[in-house]
Amino acid sequence: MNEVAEPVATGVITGGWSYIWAAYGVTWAALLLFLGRALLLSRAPDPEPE
Amino acid sequence: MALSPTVILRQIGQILSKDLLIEWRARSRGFALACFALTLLLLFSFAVGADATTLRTHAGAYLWMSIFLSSTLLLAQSMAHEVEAGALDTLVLAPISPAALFFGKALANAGQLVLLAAVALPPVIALFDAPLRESPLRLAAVVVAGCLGVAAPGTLYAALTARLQSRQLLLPLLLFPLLVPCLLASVKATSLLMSGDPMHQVNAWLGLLLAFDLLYWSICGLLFGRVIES
Amino acid sequence: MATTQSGGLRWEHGLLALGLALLAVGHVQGLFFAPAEAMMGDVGRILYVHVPTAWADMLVYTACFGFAVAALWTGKATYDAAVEASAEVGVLYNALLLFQGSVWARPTWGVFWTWDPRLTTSAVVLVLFLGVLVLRRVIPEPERRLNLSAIAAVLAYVGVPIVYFSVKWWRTLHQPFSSPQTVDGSFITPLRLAAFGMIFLGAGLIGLRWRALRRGLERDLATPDLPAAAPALRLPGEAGGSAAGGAL
Repeated sequence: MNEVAEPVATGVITGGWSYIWAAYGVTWAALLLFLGRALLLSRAPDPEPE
Repeated sequence: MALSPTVILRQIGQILSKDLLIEWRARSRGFALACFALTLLLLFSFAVGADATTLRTHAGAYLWMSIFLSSTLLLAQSMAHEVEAGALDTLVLAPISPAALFFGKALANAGQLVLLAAVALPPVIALFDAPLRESPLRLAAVVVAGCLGVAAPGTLYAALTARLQSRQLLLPLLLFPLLVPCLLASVKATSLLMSGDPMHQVNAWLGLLLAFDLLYWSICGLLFGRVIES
Repeated sequence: MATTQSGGLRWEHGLLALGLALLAVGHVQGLFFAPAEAMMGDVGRILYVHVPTAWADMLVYTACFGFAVAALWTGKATYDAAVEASAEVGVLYNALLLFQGSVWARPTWGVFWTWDPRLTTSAVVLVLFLGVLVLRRVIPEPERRLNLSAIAAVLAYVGVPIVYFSVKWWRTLHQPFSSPQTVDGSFITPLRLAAFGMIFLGAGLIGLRWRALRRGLERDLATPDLPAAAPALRLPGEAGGSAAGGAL
């Protein structure tokens, strides 16, 4: 992480790891939740029509 | 069924005149709708506040928002009396092309929307002190193109939701996101015509509106048959 | 009818495993090994999750459009299930896309929301496809649900380019808007890995949902005479059942 190029016009944004963790965390959590729900629903037994 | 173009044109004319006749006979309903549009204009001014500059700048936005919000009532009504007495089922069985049915109804709706806009425009100019720096003819073209844009997907979605229980909620929910480009282009073009158009941007917006109209008038005409049959 | 085979491993499970593995490798690379972006610093790492989501979402919606056309053409429940499955995954990716975009915009531009054409378009498309899903929930008759929701999906999809251009003009006639930097070589590998990961994961999720939904929909379409009774026959936990349950 030492290859930061020189800023051209504005300052380089430093830090911001809380935003990064928020983006990755929420994405993975949502994907895994949806996956879990889909797996659960795909295993539900077919209701027998009377 | 393969119908010749002249037959289809005649059918469009018949549906159009039938719908307009129905609306003329129930013109108190149209009057109520116009009153609703005017009420909306008043509400916008109260919500924004009596700041003359802000109101003048956004006059085009208020005009189109009142047309858009009133349009769902008009569109739903135009399909409601088809569904209520089972008239639609009879129309489907009759030797009428579904496309002709669509174009007739959509043209009738577009005509009523233009009329509504014509009624709402003088109050907009009076209430918001909106100037009109460019030619009124170009404003008329924008109004017609904008109303055509609302009418095509509007008529299709009105038919699509007409037989559903929560139609009053679903029609605006499905229609309004689809109309975003139409709203953007209509409001921008109207505002530019009101405040002056030194950069000649109106034609670009009018072009976008016409592209929107062309896309949805053709694709809705194709799909309308499937909507009323199901 | 395959009613008891739902326990076995199928192609969608393979796609899911592959997608998750690629996504994990791409993200670990992007988070810990790729250099910080020149202008955005570390915050630029959000792009390794954001850009692949955007690409995959476009593909998912395109698949949804294709399924909707096929459903209209053939009237088959298998395409109807695919429309619902892909619309669900598309809406999931789309919601994630908006969240990531906002989280990225805050440190980069100082605001959570800008009226950037891509961001705004994806918000409009999210509402459009949510509308398709809502529409499916409120129509109990299987045939009508197939036709009407497929039509709504087609109309939503064909409008996307015109929404994009209208928002783009609407913004750029006000102020020129700078887009993120073009992608440099060292960023490509994690980006590509994550993109294929999201695409395979999306395909696997669609497959998983499609198989679960298809069972219920095929039964519905086979008994069109009992439209009102059909929702009551489903288990409350099953997708179609919970859907109809929300409407009734």
